[in-house]
Amino acid sequence: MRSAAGTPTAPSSSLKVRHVAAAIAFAVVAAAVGLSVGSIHVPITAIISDVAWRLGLGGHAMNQTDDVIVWTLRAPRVVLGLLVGGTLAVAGGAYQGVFRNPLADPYLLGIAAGAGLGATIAIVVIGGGAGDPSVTPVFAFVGGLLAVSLTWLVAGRGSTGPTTLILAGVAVASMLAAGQTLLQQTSTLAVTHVYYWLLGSLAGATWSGILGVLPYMAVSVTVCIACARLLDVLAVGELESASLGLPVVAVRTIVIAAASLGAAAAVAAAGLIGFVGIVVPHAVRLLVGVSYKRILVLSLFGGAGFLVLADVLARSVLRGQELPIGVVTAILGVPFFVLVLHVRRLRLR
Amino acid sequence: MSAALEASGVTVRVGARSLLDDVSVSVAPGEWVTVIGPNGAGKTTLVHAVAGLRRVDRGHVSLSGRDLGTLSDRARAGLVAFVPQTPVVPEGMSVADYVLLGRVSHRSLLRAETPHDRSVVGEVLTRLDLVALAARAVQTLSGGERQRAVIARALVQEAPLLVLDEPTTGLDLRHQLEVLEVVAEERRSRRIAVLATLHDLTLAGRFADRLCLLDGGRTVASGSVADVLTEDLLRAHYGVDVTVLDVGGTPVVVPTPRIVT
Repeated sequence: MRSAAGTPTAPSSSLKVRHVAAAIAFAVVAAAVGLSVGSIHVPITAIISDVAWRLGLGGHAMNQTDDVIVWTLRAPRVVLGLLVGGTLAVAGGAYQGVFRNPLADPYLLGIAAGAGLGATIAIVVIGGGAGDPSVTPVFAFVGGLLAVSLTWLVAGRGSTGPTTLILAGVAVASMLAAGQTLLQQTSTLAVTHVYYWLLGSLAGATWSGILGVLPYMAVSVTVCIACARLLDVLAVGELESASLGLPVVAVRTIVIAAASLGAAAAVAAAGLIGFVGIVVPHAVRLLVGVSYKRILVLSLFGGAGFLVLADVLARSVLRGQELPIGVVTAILGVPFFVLVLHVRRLRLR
Repeated sequence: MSAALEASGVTVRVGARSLLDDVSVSVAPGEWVTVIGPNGAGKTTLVHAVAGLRRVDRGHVSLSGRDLGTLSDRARAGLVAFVPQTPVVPEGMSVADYVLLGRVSHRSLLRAETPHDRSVVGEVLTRLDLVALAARAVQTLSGGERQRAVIARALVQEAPLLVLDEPTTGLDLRHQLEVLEVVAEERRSRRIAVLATLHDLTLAGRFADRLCLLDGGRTVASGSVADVLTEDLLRAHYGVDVTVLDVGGTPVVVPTPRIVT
């Protein structure tokens, strides 16, 4: 604890390069697996060789079929998985910091229900029961953001404490979910479409869709990570963080707005994918400690890799059929979580 | 030199009820003023109000000559540091990181801490004998150690006024003294102004230059320790018979276990 000059200095809780490198490596490996695995297996070595060839570093090009499978069919799906997973994990971590509640997830303030209602309106009213892939995401995105805004207004514009916000979120979500159920019952055709949308999927990934949500996700992730050190201050509660000089209401409003923007964009792009926003920041917290300076950055890469791997399972477990990715994140997430808890217990012993 | 704290006519209401009614208190640099009074007298409301943590309905508060109402959160944190009665202990946070939170007002909010911030934290950890505990999680500390960490966090704010709400709650006799002695030493060596609330009247008399006795949200007595710690005043406002003994020049308050009707 003493530097060479003899003045004591405090140890650092800041981000460690080796942690970031490990998290990036995890996401890169997951992406490689995502490009390689599927109904037709393309060896990772062939993909690496192809990338090297494209960059003019030797190697050789893939055959045309593999090229189409890897770069036209799988790449947008992998990229969307990275973006949605990373954004949901950062948004979940940010929500946990704002609410000082480890059970907070990005859907806490009504985004899921609002996006669900928005998507149902798009499918039932606009799409005549089927839904247009260019319209549904927009409605889901707007619905999610309107729901959070409504929650925020009901809770007195964020000036009341986090508990009021959570309660308002529960009320708004219940109301919107009821509206969504009511609407989907009017059309038997719509039920199936709405149901599949709600379960979440990366199957509809396109480059233009990715470009549509990318700006929102980028803003969301950037703002959340920039506010990470303020979330560390907020950990001592509202009264004390105010006494330390933190403008509590402003910080809370900005972080909730940013996290909600990212979560709404993620939901618009891939439907309701649960568990990523809770399990990834938790796992990171258990591995590297409680500072949000670490949690948010590492969750970005951890969530990205996690969702791509979940998607690999979703499309490869059953031959010729895809599992809903939300089911996979839950099935994969829970044992992973138990494993991390177990490792931590062993380490503490 | 302006007073570290100058509060006059402070009134705080909740609905029709006054929690504080026209209370005035001032603390000069290097001075220690302790607020005493029975439960519900308004002690905590007063320290929250002067620390800018609670809205004042009427009256005026200035910190080192600057009007509290015009200060940003950050500017205020540079003029008054606050030690709460029951600090929130964030799980898993090290003592060093916890104390470092006190530096957040010294830079723009999104900036990382500087080497200077770390060296201020290092100095305060040394002064408060916390260096050996710096890497420990705050929640694993004993009550006395934890309270020293909370005070350390307030001290690294380097504010001219330190406000403490019942800093000895839940501590044994030795640790009560230890915590108050830490504050006394900081005030002596750095001329920090101290405003504290305390339940223990003997300790209150021992450590303060002046006392302020609150009852029902009003100031009922204020002045030197000898003026305020009198058997009549304490009987009238605490509702018990007490004997005030003089032990080596300091008053010792001994309650008589019989309720006055």
